Amino acid sequence: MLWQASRQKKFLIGGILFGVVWMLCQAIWPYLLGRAIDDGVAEPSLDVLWWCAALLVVAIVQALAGMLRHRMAVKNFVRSALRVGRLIGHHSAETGSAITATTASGEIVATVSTDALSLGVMFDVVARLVGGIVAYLVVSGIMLTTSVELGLLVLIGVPVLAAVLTLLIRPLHSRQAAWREQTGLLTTLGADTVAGLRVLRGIGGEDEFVARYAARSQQVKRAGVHLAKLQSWLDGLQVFLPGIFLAFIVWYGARLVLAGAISVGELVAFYGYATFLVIPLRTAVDATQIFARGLVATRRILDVLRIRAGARDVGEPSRAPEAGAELVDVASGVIIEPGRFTGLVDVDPDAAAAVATRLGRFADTEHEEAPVLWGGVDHTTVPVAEVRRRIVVSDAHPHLFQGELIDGLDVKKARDPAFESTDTAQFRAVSRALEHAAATETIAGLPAGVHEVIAERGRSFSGGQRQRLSLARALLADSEVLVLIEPTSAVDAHTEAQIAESLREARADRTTVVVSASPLILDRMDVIRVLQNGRLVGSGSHGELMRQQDDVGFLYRSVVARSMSAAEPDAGLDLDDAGTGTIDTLWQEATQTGAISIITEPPRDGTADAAADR
Amino acid sequence: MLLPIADSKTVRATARALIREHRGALASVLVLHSIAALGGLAGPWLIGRMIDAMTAGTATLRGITIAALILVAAYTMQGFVSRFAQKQGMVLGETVFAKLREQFMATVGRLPLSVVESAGTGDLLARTTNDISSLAQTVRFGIPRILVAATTTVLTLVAAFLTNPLVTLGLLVGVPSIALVTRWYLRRSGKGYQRQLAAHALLGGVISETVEGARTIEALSLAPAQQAKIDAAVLERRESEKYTLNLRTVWLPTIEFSFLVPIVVVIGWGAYLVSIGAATVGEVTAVALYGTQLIGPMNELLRWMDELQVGATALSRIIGVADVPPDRHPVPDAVPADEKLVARSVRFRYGNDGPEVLHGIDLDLAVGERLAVVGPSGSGKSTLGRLMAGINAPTGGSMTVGGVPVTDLPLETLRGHVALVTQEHHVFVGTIADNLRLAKPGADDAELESALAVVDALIWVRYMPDGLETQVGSGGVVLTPAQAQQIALARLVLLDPHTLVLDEATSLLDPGAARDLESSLEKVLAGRTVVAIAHRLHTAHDADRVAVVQAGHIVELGPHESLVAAGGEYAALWASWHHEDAGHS
Repeated sequence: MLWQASRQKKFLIGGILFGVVWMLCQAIWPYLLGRAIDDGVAEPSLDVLWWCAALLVVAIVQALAGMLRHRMAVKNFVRSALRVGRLIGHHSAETGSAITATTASGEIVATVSTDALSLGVMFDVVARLVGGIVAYLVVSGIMLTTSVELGLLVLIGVPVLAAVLTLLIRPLHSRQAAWREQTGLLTTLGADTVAGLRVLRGIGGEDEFVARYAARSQQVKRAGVHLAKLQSWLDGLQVFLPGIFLAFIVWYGARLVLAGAISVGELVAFYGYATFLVIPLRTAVDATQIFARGLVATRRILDVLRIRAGARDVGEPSRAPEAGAELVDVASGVIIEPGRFTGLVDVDPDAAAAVATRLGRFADTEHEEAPVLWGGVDHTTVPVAEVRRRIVVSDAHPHLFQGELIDGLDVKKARDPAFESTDTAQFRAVSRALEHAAATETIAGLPAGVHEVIAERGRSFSGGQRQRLSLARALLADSEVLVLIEPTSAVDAHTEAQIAESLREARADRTTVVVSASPLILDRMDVIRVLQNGRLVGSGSHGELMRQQDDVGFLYRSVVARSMSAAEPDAGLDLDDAGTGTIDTLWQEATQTGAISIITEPPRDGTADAAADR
Repeated sequence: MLLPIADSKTVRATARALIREHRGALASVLVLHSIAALGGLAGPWLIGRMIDAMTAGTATLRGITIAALILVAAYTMQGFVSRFAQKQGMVLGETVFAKLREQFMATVGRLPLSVVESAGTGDLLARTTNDISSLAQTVRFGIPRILVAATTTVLTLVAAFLTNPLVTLGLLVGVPSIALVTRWYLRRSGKGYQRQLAAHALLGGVISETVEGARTIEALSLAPAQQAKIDAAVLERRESEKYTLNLRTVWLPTIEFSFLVPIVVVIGWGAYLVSIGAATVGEVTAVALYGTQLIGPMNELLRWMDELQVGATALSRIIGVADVPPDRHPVPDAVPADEKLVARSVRFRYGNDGPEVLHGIDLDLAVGERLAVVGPSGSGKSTLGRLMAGINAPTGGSMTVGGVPVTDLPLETLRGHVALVTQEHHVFVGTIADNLRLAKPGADDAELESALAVVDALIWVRYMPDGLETQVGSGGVVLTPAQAQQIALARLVLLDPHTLVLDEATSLLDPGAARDLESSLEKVLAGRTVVAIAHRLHTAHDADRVAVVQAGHIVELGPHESLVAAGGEYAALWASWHHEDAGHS
């Protein structure tokens, strides 16, 4: 936090400085007003013009200082909030999966959106508070020189009032928290209802959900009213307590006037001071709240920033093996031969995915138990950057990111700053990858094609589309070893068949590992490693394993058959083709061979008749 | 399809209607605030009186004490009454806001089926969460604060006028500059704040996608690229702030100066009036102090103008949902004579000028039969399914059940006849029982359990920590996609329609789960008329009849065997499948 403060020293000091000037202007205003009344109004003379001029100058200075203070405050606020946001964003990008492993992602996002703001508000309030304290001291000083008693009264009275009001705010917090919690539940309920609206409108229950929402909404309202009851007392007290204070000052001051100790104008000034002091008083009350929240926020931010990446370079790194090195996952016994397509199959799909993930080295602690040998070298001793460059793991739920699609897909440039390519070459590479991932149609549907700027998380795409685009991206990474985990889980069988076909072309002669239970995919693998609960039990090609009459064959068929329909032709006989029984594929083939004539859709424009004639 | 946004006329009308509706509460809040504000006006008035007494030499110690006691009484009254005024104001805000959001949700719950099916949930979700909460700010805090500030401003001016109207004229010199600069500011600030909000949302989105996609970023070494994107979003956020900050750089000092100048004018002008005997020193002082007291409420009032703009935008999106026209006008006493679904020269096009996707479909479904609809992608088979399920009405011809057009049936009745089953399965926040009772509100636990038993889900439900009463959905127990789909199927059992239209019901499931589900689905289908939009040929093989749809026409219709024997399109398809088998084995 201090570090952050030092980074924006200029604005912090500026903010404090202008805050002080601004507050002092307001503090000096009653004094000048009093003098003007004394010297100009009570005894009419042209002196009043001088006092008016002085007041005008103060008004100008006050307005300008107020504006500059506001600018500094906003800059303080925005800088610190944004810097924290940026810091967390950068940190998350660098830390990788460790960040979501230890903290819920929602919590981190909340840290960015609320905690960063709390921190920003804290920096802003510091400037205001300092201004307020200086003004309070100056006002007390002025009053002390006029009347020691009144000066002391203000000097002691204001902090006491601030303390009393701060204490009163405490119980408010619990009611505010209750209200916030209720509101959160209501929002969840509303979002849930909307997300399931298709079901509700299709099956029924919408009335009940609307009633549920209304009941919850009334609960929120009650919590709000409960809060309002206390809040309004507090507001009332904020009027009452300073009011009594003010009345006392007026009473005491008026007696002094009567005794001839001070002038009428000075009484007005006292009244002015007392009303003005409400402002630093409020600031002080605000500041205690803001500091309490800011400290909690700082702690949470630091918690996030303290999370460290799961894979880190060791002191003396080993040399990475030459290209074409074999990968061995010791715990499972799986060997990945270079230049070949390897399928990983396990009864428990998560276990197969875990083996595949280990190849990519994401959590060094895990590798203490389950090392991976890369060309005979423990891959945790190789520099992380080298592992990432040569081994790419595309997990089961890859994310797309906001930005122009072509940049998001063609990750080569992002991965290797030295890599250079012309626009046409890039376009060609991306188009080819999209074709391989059966995603060309998805792109064709976009107004700007590959240059479309997509929303964050790629949320405008369906799950299947996202999966295919991610696959294209993984192919474009063009790495020595590519590990794909369930790359076709969200696409239909027809597309899956297409992908299985083109994958071989896209990754010809390079090491490719695929975790899948789909016979369409497995049929295209050079070798399949069959696992049981994460341990290798056998290997073979899809055809061999389908015919193999032992435990391994049985195990394999049981996994693969699950992904096929119960009503498909008998298992074991012609399973090689079972999965390809989708109508779209058959239809396409049939039309290509001329077995089915194609009825063309009449064109959209007015040439429908002409088309019919043909 | 985008949901409508209400125009500013409708927003104003809604605001007026709200004011009318709550005029009683509003009036009482205003009265209370006015009384409270009176207490705040006592100070300057008493000071003025004292000064006049002092300059006239008539002031006494007793008089001062009385004045101070009046002041104490005034502040006590103000504090006390304003407490009740504030409370009532806040309660009013809560009430109005609760009503708005409840009305909104009621409208959402009644959105036409065809709109729900085509609009997607993103926009609606944004309105339910973002817009509701930005409206909350305006209604919950805005209404009470604006009421206080407005009454205080007006009453302070009135008090100043009553003290001395001539002197008070001096207070008005600030009005033109405040009005002009505020107008200038508000014209620009709306757009500025919208950009700022958008920039803020963008930054939030990029950071959250970074956090959620941390794994992908790590695996593909995308950190530098993602960091560059964060920096760009931060920059845009800062730039957007710069614009509004520049606006305020002009606006804030101008209004602050415009608040202060009138006080100076009152002093100068007052001195002249005192010298000609048109005012007393006390009156000038009182008006000057009133001028000082105006600054606070005026400031607050002006600052809320911005928030009001934001609130109006949110309100227009919230009440805009009500502008969706209904997609059907049910005939209440329409009673289907039997359970037969019949299509007669059904034509359909999306929108008014979209291409026609179905060109005259004729189809008679026998009760209890299974019809498989096959055809290539884009042939119109899914559209046909939607028409059969009564989601859209045909644009030509008729789709009837028991002689009544399906879209003439009230939705509640329609569901009892035909239901569409898609791959979408949403688990609602609540208990498993809650999730099931959607389909049959009055059902007892035994009924729920037997429905679960039908779809083979009773066993795992019993193993759940609280059985039927287990909390599921976000924040509760996470169900697997297969379990969620079984819950959806159990709902169908409870709903008990005689006809089901299946569209890709199991195609997107985890392959490992599909087999279990297929047997659950099979049990749900038993005894019902089923239209299956088929994606795999075996579905067609098992059906009683097969309809081959191509380019919006039914080109072949009949049992599997006879279609194969007829040697048409279907036979060719079937042959190519078998031919492939032969080729490989």
